[in-house]
Amino acid sequence: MMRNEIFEVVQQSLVDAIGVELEEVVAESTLLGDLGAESLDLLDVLFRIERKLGFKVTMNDITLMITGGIPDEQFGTDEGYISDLGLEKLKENLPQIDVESLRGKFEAERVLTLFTVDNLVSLVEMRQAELPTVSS
Amino acid sequence: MEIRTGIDLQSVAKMEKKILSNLLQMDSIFTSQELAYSAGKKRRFEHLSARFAAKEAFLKAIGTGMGKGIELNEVGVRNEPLSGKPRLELQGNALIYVKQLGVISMDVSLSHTDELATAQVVLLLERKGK
Repeated sequence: MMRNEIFEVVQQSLVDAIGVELEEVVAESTLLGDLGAESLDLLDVLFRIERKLGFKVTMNDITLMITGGIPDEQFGTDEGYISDLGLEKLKENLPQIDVESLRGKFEAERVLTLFTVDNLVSLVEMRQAELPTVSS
Repeated sequence: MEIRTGIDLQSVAKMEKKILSNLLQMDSIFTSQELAYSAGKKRRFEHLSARFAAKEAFLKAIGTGMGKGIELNEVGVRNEPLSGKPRLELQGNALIYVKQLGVISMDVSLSHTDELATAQVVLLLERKGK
């Protein structure tokens, strides 16, 4: 499935799960902030995507994408802000992030608020690419 | 000793709508105990909302949030048979995590109306965790 098709699936899943209007769901929209999703909504969206596409995308997948898989104690500083290593990982997978604007001031526990529709589409694309293919 | 707490509030109407849509994977969110407790009860969605709030409250108390290797169905609420008092019952990664954190005692309290459900979790840690 091409990226634009994945976008449509993700977009409609967000509309159906959260109850927002289609035109509100653009690539740059953050799930928690702009679209107002709560934890239960995120689960609902992911279940809908799985149902439509036939493979799982989980909250753990989202977290791994954001943190790059590094442990919490490396992702955040003792003061609770995203560490330099954390920002490096964030930039790799959430390219829209202006890391310099976050350095030393953005709480690690709020990092999910940065996750956008486009990030979710990228994640679904990555998960699709990981699926085993059948060779003829 | 260190005390940690988490609290969460859920809309019962939202839970009801999502459950009735048949798109939520209920057994990946709730334990079999929780589903059995709520099944057939008149206020089923209130009970499930309160139990979902308890899971969220627990994750806030331990400071991980969703998606940090702990599945929601690893954090369950079980009611004492005589008193009905709710207790947290942990499995899998949730249980491993609290042991690593040094949790020596935990408690949960639930409350719900036909509109809202809330839960608070309190943890007592043996040592100062991160």
